Amino acid sequence: MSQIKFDTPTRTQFSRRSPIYRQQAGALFGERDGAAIALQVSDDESRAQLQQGALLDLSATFRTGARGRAASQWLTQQQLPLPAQANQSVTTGDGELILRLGNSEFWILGNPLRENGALARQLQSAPATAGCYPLSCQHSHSWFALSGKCRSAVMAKLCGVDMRESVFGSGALAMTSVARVSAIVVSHELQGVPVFSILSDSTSATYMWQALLDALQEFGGSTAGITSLLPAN
Amino acid sequence: MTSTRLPAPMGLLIDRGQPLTFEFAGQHYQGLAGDSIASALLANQRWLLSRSFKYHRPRGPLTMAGQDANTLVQLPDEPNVLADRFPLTAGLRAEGQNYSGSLDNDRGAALGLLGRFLPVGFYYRTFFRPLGVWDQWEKFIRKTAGLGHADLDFKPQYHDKAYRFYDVVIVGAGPAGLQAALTAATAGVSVLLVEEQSLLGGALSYHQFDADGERTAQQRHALVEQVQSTPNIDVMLNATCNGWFTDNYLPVIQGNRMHKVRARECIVASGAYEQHVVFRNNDLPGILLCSAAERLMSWYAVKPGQRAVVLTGNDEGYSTALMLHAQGVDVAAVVDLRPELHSPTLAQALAEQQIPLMQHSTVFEALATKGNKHLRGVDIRRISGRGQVDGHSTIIDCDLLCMSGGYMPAYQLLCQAGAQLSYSDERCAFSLSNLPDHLHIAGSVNGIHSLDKVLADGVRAATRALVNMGLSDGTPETVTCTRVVNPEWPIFPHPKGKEFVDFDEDLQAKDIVNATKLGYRDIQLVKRFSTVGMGPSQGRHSALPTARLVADATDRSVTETGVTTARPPFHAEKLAHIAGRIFSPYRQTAMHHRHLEMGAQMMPAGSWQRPAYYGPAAERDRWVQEEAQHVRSKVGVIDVSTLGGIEVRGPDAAEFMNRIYTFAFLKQPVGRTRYAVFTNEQGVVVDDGVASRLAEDHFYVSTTTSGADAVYREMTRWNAQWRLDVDIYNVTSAFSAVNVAGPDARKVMEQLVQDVDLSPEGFPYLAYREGTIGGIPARMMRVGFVGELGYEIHVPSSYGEALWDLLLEAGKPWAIRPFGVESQRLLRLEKGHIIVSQDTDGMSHPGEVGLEWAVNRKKPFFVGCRSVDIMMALPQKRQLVGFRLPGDSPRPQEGHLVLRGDNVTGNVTSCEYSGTMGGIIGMAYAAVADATPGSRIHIRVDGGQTVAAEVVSLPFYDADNARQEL
Repeated sequence: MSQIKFDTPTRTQFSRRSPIYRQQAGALFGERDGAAIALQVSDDESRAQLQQGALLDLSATFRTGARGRAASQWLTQQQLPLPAQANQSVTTGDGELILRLGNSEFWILGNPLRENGALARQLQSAPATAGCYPLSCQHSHSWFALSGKCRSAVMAKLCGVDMRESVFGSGALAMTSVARVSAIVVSHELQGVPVFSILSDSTSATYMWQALLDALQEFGGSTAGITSLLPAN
Repeated sequence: MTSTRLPAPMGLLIDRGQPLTFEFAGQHYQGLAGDSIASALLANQRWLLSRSFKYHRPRGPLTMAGQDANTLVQLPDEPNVLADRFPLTAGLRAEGQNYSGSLDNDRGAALGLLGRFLPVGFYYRTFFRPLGVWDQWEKFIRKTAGLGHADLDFKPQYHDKAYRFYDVVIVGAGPAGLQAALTAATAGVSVLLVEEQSLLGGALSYHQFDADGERTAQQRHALVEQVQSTPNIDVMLNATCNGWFTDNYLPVIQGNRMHKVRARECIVASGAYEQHVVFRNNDLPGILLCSAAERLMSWYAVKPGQRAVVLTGNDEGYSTALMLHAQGVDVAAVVDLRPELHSPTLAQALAEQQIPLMQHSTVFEALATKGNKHLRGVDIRRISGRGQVDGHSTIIDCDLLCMSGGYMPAYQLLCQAGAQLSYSDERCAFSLSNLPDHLHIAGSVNGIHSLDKVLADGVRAATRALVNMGLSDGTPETVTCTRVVNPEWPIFPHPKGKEFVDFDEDLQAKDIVNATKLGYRDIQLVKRFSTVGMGPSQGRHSALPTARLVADATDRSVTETGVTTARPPFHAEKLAHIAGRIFSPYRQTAMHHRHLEMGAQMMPAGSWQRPAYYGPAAERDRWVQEEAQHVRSKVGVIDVSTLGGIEVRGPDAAEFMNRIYTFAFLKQPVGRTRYAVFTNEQGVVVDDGVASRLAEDHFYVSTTTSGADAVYREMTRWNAQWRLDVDIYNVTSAFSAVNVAGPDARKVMEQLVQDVDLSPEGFPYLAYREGTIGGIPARMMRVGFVGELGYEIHVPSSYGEALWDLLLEAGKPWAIRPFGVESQRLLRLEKGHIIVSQDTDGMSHPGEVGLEWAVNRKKPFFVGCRSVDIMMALPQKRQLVGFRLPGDSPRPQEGHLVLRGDNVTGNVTSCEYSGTMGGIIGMAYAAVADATPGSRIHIRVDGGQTVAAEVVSLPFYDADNARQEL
């Protein structure tokens, strides 16, 4: 299932880079979809730490989107399962995440634990017909994942939306303001680990990363790499 | 000093095994973990904690619950700390406040002797005339005003905020609140219990509702245990609900955090404030409320005195007397204000303990030790009428006086929600009604005082909340309580005064009455004139006697008089709580760290951080000139990622662009760019950019850095009306962009671009091309903003840093160097290009700023076209012109005025020294009559000097555009 390459590229080996790669100095990096992703940030990270509270940078992972009146039709033709309503998400059998931001806007997020080349090629461009327009969310938005039992409490310090498990369970999605930056927050699971994915303006990524870490500190959380998501950990 | 404590079960809060040493007013004391500063001091027989605001009278604790200003003390880094709430810590250092000399020997106490010369409203009536006298008094008054001192070296602490969401929030964890929480929780809803003190139980934790207190303790234990073992009840201790806002939005302050709590249903079980009795010297240390003495014993195991008198207007005072007696205090007498005996059982209990009972009597005067430091005795009189006593005096020596003048509901939150206060002459008490939906009330705040009924009222309120949520179909039974706990008139004026109504402001009964005599009949005016209720305790104890006194003096009912408006915050809160952890988002381009590595001085541009120039700030002019010269002679690169980017896609894209911008776009060829000016409906130029046509149905248009969001918003707003078939997409963050400019720009590009013909013919000025740069997909435009051969390159922002690295590496043979925003401003100024919002203002129409050429007058419509037509048809009053001055002339600054005689005709919008032009150049608004090249405009520069600048035609540099069109 997992396809992580442990070839330890440097952070800047690839032309495409996460907007916050500098925030993870000392991390062990691997390739994800043509960019470097932090595999391991510290020696002692594990799934237990994810339970405690962890922040992961998934920005390198492939993602795209489409919107317009014909967007749902086109995506359905691509055999992608679509959420029934706006402000919902579904996870595919391959671990991709499909977000429905409105009646006619969808984002497709690749699986951070595997290469998403096939998906990228499949969705390379929406058809050049009126009513279905591709979106540049790969570049316009950073993608962070916040894990841990404390994640609702962490978000409560940054965001006015009720994100307790009982009301913002897996599949829920909110387009809201996090630490005064517009953001999309999605509740879902990554390798069985409940997380909030936070997608926000890539130009404010450093600010957002630091704001989330600051809020997480109270609960003993820290940054982590994606290998901590693997069941062996 | 060491302290002695009462034996258990007294001392619910203290840990006898953890002594703590601390310092107050320069002396060392020992307290216990769990103590407040005040309880630890009282355990050491230290009663004098502060001085009163006006007369500097000695003050000791009154409530032991943080409800009065008597215990305000100074900590090293914080003034006005409530000593009866602030937890004791090891090594704590506290001081008294508001004294001259020392707390024990305050020279300011002499002010008390001048009391009759300082009548109510003294300041209002004294210091406003003759004209100018305030200036003389201000220094003195400011010195004496205010409490405590701020530590200006204070290091700010971390404060933040958090949102919380509950089905039911209960404010107050006394018996009613605890019971309400348990009842609500049975339905499975989420419940939050907010308690101001550090333990649950409210009155159950200190007051004995039965003779020996055993059943009370059991009841508290049972309720608390149930609450703590119920998983869907969250408890917040030491937390203050500081306001009620619409739809049960409740700010709750706990520690350094403000919780913004949302509740579907809110139950206020905030209790009632025990009231003081108004008699002469009722503020002496050693005089406190009955509940305060009970708290001292029950919470802190502190024996409040050796010989006590209890003055009461209800049965609760009897319980206090019995409790004092049980803890070894000699109770000299219980003085009951009421004419009749209400509880023979309690009277019998007093008799059994040989405690004398004096009915229909009052303390007329408290007698003080030297310097009013402490109570030494009381003068007791029989009550002969309302507020009147007979001449027979009984003096009792005592060092403790406990008083209970009745209760006032803790009404603040409820009145903030719109509840109405009404006074019952029968019960001599206020009650609350007209609560909004989803807000409930329970317990003593609801006028219920018998414990069993208080519990029943908690059940009722919670059931009502559950009914509202559709979780119960029960009909909650109304709970009524007929007990009268307030005496009719616990106010006894004394010929010598000093019978305090408001301890915070040293206001006596006569002050309130005198305010009404001066015409301030309305309670709100009485407050503002006399300052009653304006101190830290916010009328918790003064509102009721003031209402009674004003009603009596103005011959109205107490209900008609009412109390003053209760506004948030309920309790003093720090600005740090309101500010929280301040979120100040900033934006950085993908190349941000490269700029820092190259020594850039960053400057803010809205929320963006942009490089102004590269090099130490001390030589700012040098770097700007060098960078500009380098672009003119070689090649430079600037990060322009902050420019807004908007995609317009769809069959109606060209029609949409044609309506939004002033130029014509229907026939713009694919692969070409066009200058785009955006005017608002008033015809004012509000933004500009470059529109590239990528396909017949696809435009990519840039905006100014600060205008991106506003332009995007306007575009979507307009299309909500037009309903054109387009998709409008803000891609500002999705693209990084640079401008490679200079005579060698093409040579640099040729190193990296293989799939685009870069020749002047293949990629001419104003053309748009798509290709790759070092494998990175790129959108490229030939632009001329700085007046040299230039390529604006836009790539997906994740590639921005790599693009920067590629260009700097490829440009090495031509000595490429980065240039910043300030250098770019100089370069574009030399070309006479305007910057919207710098060279335009809220009135600039296209004709004023030389943009007539960018307005298509033949097309039927664009946003603002009608206004542009009207304004450009009117006689023009001003014109944006270029001017120049010799290099050694004083340099005008942006904003300096342009004068024509005595009249202001405009202002300078841009000005800089230009090495290329060999002098100072700039742009300014000038009178049309002065706009002809060769004219002179007069600019007033710093220091008031006026310089005469020559008006020249724009651009200053390369008038035939030969360099940018290479």
